[in-house]
Amino acid sequence: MKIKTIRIDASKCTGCRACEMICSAFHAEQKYSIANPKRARINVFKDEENDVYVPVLAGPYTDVECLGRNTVTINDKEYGECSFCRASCPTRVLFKEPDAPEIALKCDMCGDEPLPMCVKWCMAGALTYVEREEAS
Amino acid sequence: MTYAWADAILEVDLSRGKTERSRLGLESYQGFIGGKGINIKLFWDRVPPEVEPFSPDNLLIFTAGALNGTAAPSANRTTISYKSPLSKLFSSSSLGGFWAPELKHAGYDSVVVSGKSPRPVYLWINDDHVELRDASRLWGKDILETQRLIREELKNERVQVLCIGVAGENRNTAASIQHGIVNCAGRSGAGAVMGDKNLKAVAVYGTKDVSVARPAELIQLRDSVLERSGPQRDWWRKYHVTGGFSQAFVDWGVFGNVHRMPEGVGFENMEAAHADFAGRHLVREPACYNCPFKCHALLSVPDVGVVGVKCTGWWSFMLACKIPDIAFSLKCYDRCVKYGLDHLSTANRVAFAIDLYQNGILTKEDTDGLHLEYGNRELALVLVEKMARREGIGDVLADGVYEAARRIGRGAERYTSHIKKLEIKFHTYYNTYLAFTTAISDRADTPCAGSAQMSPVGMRWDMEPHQYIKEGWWLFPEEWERYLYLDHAVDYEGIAEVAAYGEDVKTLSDLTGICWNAAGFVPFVAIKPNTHVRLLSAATGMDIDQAEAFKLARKTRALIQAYNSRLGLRRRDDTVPEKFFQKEVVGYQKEKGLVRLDHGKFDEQLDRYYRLKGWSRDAIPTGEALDGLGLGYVRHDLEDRGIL
Repeated sequence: MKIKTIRIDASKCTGCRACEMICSAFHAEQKYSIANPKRARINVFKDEENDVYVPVLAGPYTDVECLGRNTVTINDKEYGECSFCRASCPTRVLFKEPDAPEIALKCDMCGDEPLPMCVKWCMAGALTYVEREEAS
Repeated sequence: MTYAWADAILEVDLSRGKTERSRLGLESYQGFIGGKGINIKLFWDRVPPEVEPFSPDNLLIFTAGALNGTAAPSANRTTISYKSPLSKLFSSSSLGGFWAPELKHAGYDSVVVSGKSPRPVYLWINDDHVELRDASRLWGKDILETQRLIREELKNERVQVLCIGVAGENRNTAASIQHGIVNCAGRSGAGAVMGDKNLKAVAVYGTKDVSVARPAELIQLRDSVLERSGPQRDWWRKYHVTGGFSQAFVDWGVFGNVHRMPEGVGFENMEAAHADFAGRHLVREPACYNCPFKCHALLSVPDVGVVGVKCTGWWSFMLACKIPDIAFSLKCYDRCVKYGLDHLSTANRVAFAIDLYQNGILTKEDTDGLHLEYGNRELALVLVEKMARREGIGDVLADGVYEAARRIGRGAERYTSHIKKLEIKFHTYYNTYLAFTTAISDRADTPCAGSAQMSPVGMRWDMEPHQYIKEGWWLFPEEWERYLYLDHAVDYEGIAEVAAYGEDVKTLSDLTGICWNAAGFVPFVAIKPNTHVRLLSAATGMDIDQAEAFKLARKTRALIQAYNSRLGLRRRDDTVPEKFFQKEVVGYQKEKGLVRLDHGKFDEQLDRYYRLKGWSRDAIPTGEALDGLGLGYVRHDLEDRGIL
């Protein structure tokens, strides 16, 4: 089975959020008729002061929040695990339609497009598309 | 249906603590497009010229460009306009980043702030929910801490914040409004006006869609721009790592009243030192919203931490204090950023104070016992802090070199370096094109700040002219290609034409919100004027061509000129400090020998420029020109006041 994946190189991210913009425009009901990063299935977590830039792709919906939450330390600064979490989760607004929060947003790799839009238009080269074979 | 625009403004009356959403009225404002255009129109309609900068009646207007929030690349500039406490003229400061697109997504084109709050507040805009919140615990905090605390208080790490630091709170006329780690609306005291209003910050979070008129066309244009964006990305990389510093800055680029960096201070190999420093400390080149370029540099500076810098931020204090050490320069710069201070004006003021002291005009009695001298690292940091907090000598300097000289007297005026009271950058004005465009700019500022455009000669960087044209990078009219072969550092030919045309290019950026870095500044412009206008048409449905768009840019520029004419702005102000006409120095190209500006040639170009703009020889827009731009009401006003 062919698995589609997006490889993230956080060191190359410029934090421009073009990925969020194009994702939202591509998935608009009438393609490209609107832009709205809050509808995007990708979110760039940023902490400029500490040079942390991490694109996070929307993963599965969960109806229950985590019981234990870990922390991640980068360059001596501690972050809550939620900052890098892919889930559409009851604890936050991220990865939900802003005007219909009951609808979870999940990355669909842009369906039949040869490349996901965020990968295609990441001019910094932080996102690359990789297919890999996995036994089904 | 309205495309691209929200057709809404948020009115904020700080005196009464009231906020109200109202219609912008595109039928009246569409001709001003957005950003600076909407700001000057609101200003003309609402702020009589006699209103003082620190009056509650002065407005502080934050406006998005028409294209912000759409898919148009690099459309992220916020334009902030106000009557400047430094120049006492209508002035605008703009910044990139993420704020203006967020404002559009919250459903507004513009935030118009009037009045003065009785206590420190910040404005919180969350779509239709708007409130003024207590900012007493934020008062006194630096700009990074302020943004962090606001995000924590609102429990939302994606909130975009504009804020002031201590300098703005203390109404230092070099105070800026800041955003993120590197974006800064500086130069003419925007932060001082915000501080005077007791407004610490404006935080915004928006979740609404921004619609566009012709989606397929817009995306196709966007794609073509991005496909042409490679050379400019490479150019920035080169700029950051190796080519950013020019030895010419050292030869000419000294602040204060000296004309050359003294020999033996250690600036001889600064280009190499800069490249070495950048190579060791550059950690990332971040970008603003939806921009394929990366004109900022994040540096990990010893003893300071991560510093975000662009363009002149690297060198201002190094040159002002005559200390050949980039780490020192960045330390002072970082201090300015955190206090919310324009580093160029502040560095200029430091050099001015040292000059006065060295020449016996200031003594220890005036300087709180400080001995002011070049080459003193600690002193620079002490003076920056004193200015930010208006303590002792810092209080005098916080009003700018023009006002400070008046207050000090004793001939201090001879040591000032300002244009229309705005302190000059260290970039030298022996360069004829730079001097001219700075003189005519709507903000007395060098290209990339006011309305002026870079020299086409400077733009081609190190590419041969014929190759530059062949590859399609030339953004001026074809018949001017010969100007590429001139040296506009010394030649005057064509300067007025290029400056007038360049102003249209630059002003268009100030209206659409597309950053001028992408649309006109660097050698490999991905968004040439024709593409720029097509992006505007596709997004808004305006359907205008380049000539019509440039006419609208001229309309905005003429209205700014008319407004400032009412404040006494005349031809005599459109110049650079006299010393650049008097003293000869070695030119950018040393083989060309000594250079200085020429009054006769400069004036000739000024006449040509005014004619091209439709202004009188005294820099006042003529009645005919105003009528032709649909500004008949402005003509009547100027006639009623006896200006026309």
